[in-house]
Amino acid sequence: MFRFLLGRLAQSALVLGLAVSVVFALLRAAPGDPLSGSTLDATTAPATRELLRRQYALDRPLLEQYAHFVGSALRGELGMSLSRGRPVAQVLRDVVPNTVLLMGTGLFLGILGGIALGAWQGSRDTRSSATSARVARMSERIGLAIIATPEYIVATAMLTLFAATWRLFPIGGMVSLGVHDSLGPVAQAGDVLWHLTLPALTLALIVGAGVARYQRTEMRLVLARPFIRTARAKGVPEARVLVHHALRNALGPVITLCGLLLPSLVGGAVFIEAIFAWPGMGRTMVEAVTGRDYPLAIGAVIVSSVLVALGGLLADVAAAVADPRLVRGRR
Amino acid sequence: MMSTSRPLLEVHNLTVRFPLHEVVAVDRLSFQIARGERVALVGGSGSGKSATALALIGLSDAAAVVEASSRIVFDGHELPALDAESPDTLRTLRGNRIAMIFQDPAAALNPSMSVRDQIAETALVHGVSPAVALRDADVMLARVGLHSALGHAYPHELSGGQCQRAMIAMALLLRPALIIADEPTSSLDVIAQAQVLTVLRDLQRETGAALLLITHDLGVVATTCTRVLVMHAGQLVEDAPVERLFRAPAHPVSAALLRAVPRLAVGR
Repeated sequence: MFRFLLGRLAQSALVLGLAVSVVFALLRAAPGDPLSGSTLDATTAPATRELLRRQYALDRPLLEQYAHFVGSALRGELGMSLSRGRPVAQVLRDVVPNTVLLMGTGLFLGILGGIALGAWQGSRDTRSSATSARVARMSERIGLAIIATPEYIVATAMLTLFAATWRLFPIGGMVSLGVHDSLGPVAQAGDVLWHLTLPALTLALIVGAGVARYQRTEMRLVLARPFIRTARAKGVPEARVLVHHALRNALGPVITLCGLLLPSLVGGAVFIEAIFAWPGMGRTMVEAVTGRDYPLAIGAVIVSSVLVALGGLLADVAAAVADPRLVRGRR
Repeated sequence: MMSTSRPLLEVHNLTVRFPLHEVVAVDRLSFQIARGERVALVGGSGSGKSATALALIGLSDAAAVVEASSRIVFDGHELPALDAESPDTLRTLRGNRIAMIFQDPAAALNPSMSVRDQIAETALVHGVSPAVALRDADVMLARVGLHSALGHAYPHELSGGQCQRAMIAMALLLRPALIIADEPTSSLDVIAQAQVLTVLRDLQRETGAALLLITHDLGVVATTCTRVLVMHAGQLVEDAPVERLFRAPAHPVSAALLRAVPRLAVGR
């Protein structure tokens, strides 16, 4: 297990380095630079411009900029945000926990719910009761509808129904403005939870619908395999057959899929955060890219790459726990 | 205790249909097996052998229908023909009093569970404590001729013959009264076949269990069983002691099966 982990860590580091380099190159290749956009007006003296370029080391050769950047990134220095005048690390420290809270809750609920729902759907057969078969079919159709609908429409629909029409949840943001600071710690946590529910549920719904679909197919395939009949012939109770024998063998591909889902979710988080006005990294990243705030954009990419790499690592470890053959290999 | 004069297993009018395909896989089958008796169930492919075996333990295919007129009496107790009606009666018998060994052992073992854990699970689900179950599994591993290190292996790390030994250990762990073996050697090479059959025969004698051996290999029948049931198109066409069947088969299907056995014709 230790060697397996070490190998996977090395892979994650490689992926991280690649992601950072690509973003560095892409941003520099895009037209415009931080001093030509909206940050400075046309009347700024060329001498001042030159001074600023030198101050931010934008006049140095690209390779030198890159080497300098990698060196300081390794030391944990992400530089100053050009648009906000604060250290990038500080800007990110404010928003990353918010994104982790939202994504973590949404992913956790979505993956767990999706696996449970899919496994249950997949275990329905001709011997199941008519009612449970009907409920399973119904839930499959709803899931398909969610998968087929673009994420921002699902999110907008949730917002319109639960926040605007029925007023069960706040319309956006992470805290109740003007009230939050005067609340006690417990009430403050409750306030965040109340704001968190709708965006997290939306994310869980989108993730869960996809996961359930894969889990259902995988479960059906495994249930048809001979060792399931062996387990039943041994007198294993049906619930244990489904969880210990079927689900355990049907988890591997789904866990891998969840790992692969993570990168696309960073993009998805941008939508969710925008629609629910969630003060997270997605919004910060969009602002940084449109404002050519190189250090902030790259810092955000580094952090999201770390999150994605960690998620992938977590998925691999989970898959190895579910299927010990992955660690042991062949003799 | 039941009187020993009564057969261990009585099957009356067992009928299994596949309504979707309008097929009657098992057609009013009746037979008995005495305690400790070794009976072969032979017949060509599709004659209903495996459907019979699965119906006996209530694990028929989801598409199959076991007719309500079918009666199965095991050890003096009437078994419910359909698992769905009283799932727990049959479950407590399966693996405990009636054990089943399947063909293609590599596929019939759970790929993500160690061999030892799978063997011990038979005892575990019948109320034996984990420590005792694992100890019994180790004893059984040695008994079927598997090195104790192989207990921690996963099925893909074993050969077909080793998998089938593990399967036998799993099936016989709780010393069942009836062993149903469905073509236990048909996916193995001849050497592994002989070894697995020896292990199975030895353990059967040792535990005094009755054996219902499903096969199409009459060579295996001759060395292992004392009585033969011949099935054809879902029906029982002959029920005879091994010697009589080999000497004078009464039914054309039995004769055809015998003719299909390859012979060495030396010095003709």
